[in-house]
Amino acid sequence: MAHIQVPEGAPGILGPMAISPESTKALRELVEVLLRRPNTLTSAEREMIAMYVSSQNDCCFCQLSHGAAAAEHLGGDYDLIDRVKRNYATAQISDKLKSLLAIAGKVQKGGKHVTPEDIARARQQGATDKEIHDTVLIAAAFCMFNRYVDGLDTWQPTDPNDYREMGQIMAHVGYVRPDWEKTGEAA
Amino acid sequence: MAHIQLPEGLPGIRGPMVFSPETTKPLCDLVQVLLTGPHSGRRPKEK
Repeated sequence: MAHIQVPEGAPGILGPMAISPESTKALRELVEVLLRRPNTLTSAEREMIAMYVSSQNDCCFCQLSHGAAAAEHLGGDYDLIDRVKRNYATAQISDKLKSLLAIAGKVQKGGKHVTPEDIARARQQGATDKEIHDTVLIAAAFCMFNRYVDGLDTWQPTDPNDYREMGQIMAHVGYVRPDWEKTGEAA
Repeated sequence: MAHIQLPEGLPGIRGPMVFSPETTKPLCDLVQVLLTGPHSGRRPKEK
């Protein structure tokens, strides 16, 4: 049971979101801009950054749901997402994304861990200031989401298969929909 | 100097916020709800 009273059967962030519609609206708009609005980083890449930070924070709901969203953006390539989570350095992703995941991992430890060398490495791989900015903000925002989900001890299914449908909705419908909180389908 | 090129003379979060207006809007909305909403106690202007 969660630390506070939230609707039963609503996994992860959906529980607290259901009881706090005002903050939920802003949070949903934020994640829509961060992960789905057109950007030089693909949605799959941005979802991978969200998934990776969430895995480093050991947040089960966020890493499995955003991992599923990343995979669904890639036509269901769950194996790649799993490899990124285990060791992104050896995964079949671009060197630019690897350098951005390194920065995201530093932000997860604390903003001051990011060094000029981390930034220089990303620039060498072609990352723009906007892409570095977005990586840092996605990493910082997901540390917030992870702490929101775990700080209230929400119910989080542990079977990755339970997140596939949610991942499809996150990837292809998005995070902002007027009736989200009524249907309780996805975060 | 910041890690990326930001508008000069703006302290802290204000530099990146000017750099990235589309993310700034929901961030400001969130802070507005969290810190000045009706359920969060005294509003700053009431201090």
